[in-house]
Amino acid sequence: MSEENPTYIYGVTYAEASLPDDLEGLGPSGKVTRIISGQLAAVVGDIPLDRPLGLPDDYLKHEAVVNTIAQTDTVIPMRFGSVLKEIGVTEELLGPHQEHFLGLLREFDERNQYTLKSRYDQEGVVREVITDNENVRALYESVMEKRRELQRRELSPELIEAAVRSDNIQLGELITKALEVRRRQDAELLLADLEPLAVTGKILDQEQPEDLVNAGFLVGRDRQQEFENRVDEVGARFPLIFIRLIGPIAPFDFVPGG
Amino acid sequence: MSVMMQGGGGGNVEHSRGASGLADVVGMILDKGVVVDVFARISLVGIEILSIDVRVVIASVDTYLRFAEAANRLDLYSKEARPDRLTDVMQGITEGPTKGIAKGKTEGALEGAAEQIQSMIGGRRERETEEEPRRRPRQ
Repeated sequence: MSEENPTYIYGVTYAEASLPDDLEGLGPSGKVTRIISGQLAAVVGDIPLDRPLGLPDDYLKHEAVVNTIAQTDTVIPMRFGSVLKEIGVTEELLGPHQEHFLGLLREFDERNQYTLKSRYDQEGVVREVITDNENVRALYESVMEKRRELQRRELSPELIEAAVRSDNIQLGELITKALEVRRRQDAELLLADLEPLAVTGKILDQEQPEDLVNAGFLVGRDRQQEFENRVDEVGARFPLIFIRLIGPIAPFDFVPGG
Repeated sequence: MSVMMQGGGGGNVEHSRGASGLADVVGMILDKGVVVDVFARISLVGIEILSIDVRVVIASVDTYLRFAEAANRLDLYSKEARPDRLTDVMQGITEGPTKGIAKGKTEGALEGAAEQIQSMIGGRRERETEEEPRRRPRQ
């Protein structure tokens, strides 16, 4: 390889960390290798030169490389699309910034992220909101009654839906507002049980309107099993909440710049 | 990575060792991680990166309507069931938590993202070298 070769950087590990065998890079060679400098190793590979980066497969490969390493070793993820000339990896990135990256590696040593995504079973929670809340129930009943009345007049389904549309918007608004209150309460309860097992945690962006709460947790390797079990326990206590626990993954939401 | 396993607790917890699918991956890694050009400006190769702008933000009214539709589907008080007999109806409904609509939405968003990316590859190819204007996808 020439020193000028564009080199894709997936992340940075300790020099003594070894790469898993089954890594597949996003470059045409598919190879993932290391460039060692002092106590650090950059996890690198080639890049496609005939097209821009950013195909779905590029994202999937980047994620898989970083998170496969994270299963066994501490890895500081680099942002997607980080490319340097090969010589720059040692001369500019790792060489002059040994202490910076060593500090990061120490900070995340034996710690990985878990991402928790939670959302309501929509029908289940709407059913509860209607039965628990008098205002919502009253409006719900009136919309249903109106619809039945129109059905008795044998109007077409399209016409009936058009006729109840504004009532439906109002009903949906009431339900959404009642859900907001409930969402805050449930989110607090959900996170309170998990936080004690994590080094730190943070709320992540909501991705869907139905989302209850999304959060990232930094969890020590020695407590991973305990954390995963606790999530199962919490899930069992909230049958109307559907939970996805992703991890252990590299600390994407906790490294600076994340 | 997409190693999936079912949680040991209730059926409502799903464990996944890594991201499963593009929507997950994009949410996980986009705009996250250490930025290389803070450390190495000079040798940064002007590499073209596709911008991702997956817009799955749903207007409030649409959201309201979807909740209302979910409510309508329930039909708590059908002809036989009157409000005073609500408990009976509730007991009749024994389905557990389903992924239902929420799941469908995610898959829709995912397909949307894939389509969006495909169309960008086919269509636009502006050079975006230095600061990649990648926006956080709302999905």
